[in-house]
Amino acid sequence: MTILRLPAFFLTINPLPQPKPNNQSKTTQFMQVEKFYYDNKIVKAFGIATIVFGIVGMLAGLWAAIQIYYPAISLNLAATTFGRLRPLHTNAIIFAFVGNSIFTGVYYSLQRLCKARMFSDKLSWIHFWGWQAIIAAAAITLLMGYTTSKEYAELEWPIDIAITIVWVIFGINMFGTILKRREKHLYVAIWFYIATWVTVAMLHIVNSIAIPVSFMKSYSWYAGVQDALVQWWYGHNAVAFFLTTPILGLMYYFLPKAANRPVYSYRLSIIHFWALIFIYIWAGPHHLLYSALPDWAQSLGVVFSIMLIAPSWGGMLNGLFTLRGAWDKVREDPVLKFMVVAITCYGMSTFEGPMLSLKSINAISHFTDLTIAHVHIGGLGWNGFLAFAILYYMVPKMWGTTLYSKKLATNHFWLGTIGIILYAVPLYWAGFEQASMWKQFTPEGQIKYDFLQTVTNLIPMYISRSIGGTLYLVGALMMVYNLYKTVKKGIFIPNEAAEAAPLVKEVSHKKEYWHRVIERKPVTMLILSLILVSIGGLVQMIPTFLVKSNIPTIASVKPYTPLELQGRDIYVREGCYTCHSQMIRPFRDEVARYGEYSKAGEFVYDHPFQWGSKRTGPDLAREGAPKLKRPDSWHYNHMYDPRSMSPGSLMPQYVWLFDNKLDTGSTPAKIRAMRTLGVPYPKGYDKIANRDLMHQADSIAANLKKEKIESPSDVEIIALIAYLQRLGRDITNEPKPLAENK
Amino acid sequence: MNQNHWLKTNKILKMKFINYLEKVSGVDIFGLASLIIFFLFFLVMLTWVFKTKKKSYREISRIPLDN
Repeated sequence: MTILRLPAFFLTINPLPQPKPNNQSKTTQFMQVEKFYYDNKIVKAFGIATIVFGIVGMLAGLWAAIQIYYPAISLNLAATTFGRLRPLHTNAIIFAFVGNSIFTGVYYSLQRLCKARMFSDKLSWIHFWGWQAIIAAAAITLLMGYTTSKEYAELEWPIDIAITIVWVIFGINMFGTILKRREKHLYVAIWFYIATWVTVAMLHIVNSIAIPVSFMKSYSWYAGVQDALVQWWYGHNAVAFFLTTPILGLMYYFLPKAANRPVYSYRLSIIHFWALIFIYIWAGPHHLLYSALPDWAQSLGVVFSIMLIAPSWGGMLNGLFTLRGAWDKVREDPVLKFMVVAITCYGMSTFEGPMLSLKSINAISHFTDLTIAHVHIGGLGWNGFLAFAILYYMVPKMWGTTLYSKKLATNHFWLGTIGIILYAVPLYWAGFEQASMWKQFTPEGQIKYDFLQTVTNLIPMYISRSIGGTLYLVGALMMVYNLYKTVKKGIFIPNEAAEAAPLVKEVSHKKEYWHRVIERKPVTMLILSLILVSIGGLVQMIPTFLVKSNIPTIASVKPYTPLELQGRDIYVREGCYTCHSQMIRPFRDEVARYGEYSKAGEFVYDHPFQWGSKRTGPDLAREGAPKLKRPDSWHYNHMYDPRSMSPGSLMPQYVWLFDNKLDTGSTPAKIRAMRTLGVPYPKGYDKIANRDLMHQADSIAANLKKEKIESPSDVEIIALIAYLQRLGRDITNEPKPLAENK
Repeated sequence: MNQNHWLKTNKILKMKFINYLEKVSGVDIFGLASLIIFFLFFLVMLTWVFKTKKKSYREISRIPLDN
């Protein structure tokens, strides 16, 4: 039906024959120009927030990066351990640094492209303070261990609601400005802003659907494979629509401004826009290759990822060709220098992305540092450098002066560029090296390298990466100094005067094509964008949710016991998924190392899924299975001091788990929430769950006692041991693994 | 937890909202539908792009430079 409706929809927006022209259009010539003022104060506020949170996010990243080879620097504190610091770093960079830089650039460019002040100053400031409050809440709660464990969507449900409200306020303000504009056409940058707004809203809402258990704790509405599909549909498109499309909008505004020439091909920019937003949304499943996701969905993700090269490179070339005949300016102007490297990094990461989505390459890149290198080409190069470029451009303009030191800015540029290379190149190497070490067998057919060897071997690369990150951070600090001195020598223009004729409802001279109408109508543009981005998601998700043969059920897979469920929540809280996967791919080496490959039916009670995306530690999907099973005492000692059981281990110590009392008060609510989600706990089980919990905890404490370890049974470590010992145990009970259930 | 209990309540996952979605008909044509949507989309977009006059693009592309 959708197919039939789509042309009809297009026809409805094809304008009917217009009346003959009259003299009304000529009135524009005699219209009184209106004087108005651009709001620079809000741009300044978002700019300061960009700089502050950029530095904070980079510091968190550097701290986390050093922990990988020097775990003691976590200070053995829960809040500053890698599993909590890494989500803080990613969220700070994505939503605080890049997010604020987007708002800085949008509030600056939108007003000028629309020839209008923002729709409402009040909404601008609610947006600003609302967003900063969300960032502060995120920083505090992530360090306290409140997390959903869904990457880049870790924030708990009250903050998710706040994000939705603030995002809607931003949308009202943006559309209000567009509607009261004095410029007839919507320039392509505004299309990118509109698509960003509508798609991020959709992604955020769909992926954040969860059932609250208490204030600051919820369980994902989806389970296992479906949760993974929704999460990576979100994760991939957060990169697409938060880290790419708005930045492209900024590129299409600020690059022509800085180079003082129009974009190379406006036609190409339109193709770039529509093709990009249409194709991007389909590519999410490439994050789940060789996983338990149905094969057809994986293939779909690969095909669309390869197609993405075309629009992405179209956009990159459009950016670089804009500088044709102006390369001499690049030599002089630091703004253009940053832009050239940013756009080149965009081209590089959008080439890498499709390559990494090929199954043969993904077998090497997934779970290794190759992916980390790839995202940092995008993060440091594309997002970071473009943010720096627009700050260097806007600050002198808004303070009515020139940049304090071009030389310092050029030094920042070189430090940053060298930093990116020192960061990424060793990690590319590390990715290839680790994957090839994983896959090697001895002539006798045994795995050649212990997992730990494959990690400790990478320490020199990790050190180089942190040096690269340090250089990049030093460069950013130089920018802070440079901009501070620039501000000091200028005078801030809070309200920048401008004038333009008001927009008059124009009657066309001849029949127009419908596209001319779309490009002037923001609401039509919004609806078209939403339809386009919905299609890809729906085609992937609906069959995965509906067709039962996609998730074959396994009779022996049972819900977690109450103690295991509590242990799982501790696993989530400590961010164990940031270093450990729970997804054994169907490769010879992985099956030999970890056991039977993971099946879709094993995860049906996993709210949320814990497949992970990186293995700094080994996979844990079969940690409790007989083949790998270690005594409770091993886990107890290992969690207290990993190096006592695995000499040379890079895992942090989790000493607080030995003192923290297990919060059994939350058990009934957790069981009830799981029942609501369809996990078959018997009716009324929530009332007696703690009895079973204590029984199991006592038996683990008794096991420990046999190994001469005295531990109370009501501490968190006991629950975590119960969970780890449960992992992968169900499937070993199943003689014939799969029973198709059509 | 009593193992026998789980054997008795050996139910597969039935998330409630699936029960509603199951009633959506025509899921099988999704593959074909997506292919057609894909081609239609590009056909419409390219028609749009190449039917528009170059002069119009020249004007619009100068918008950032006019302020």
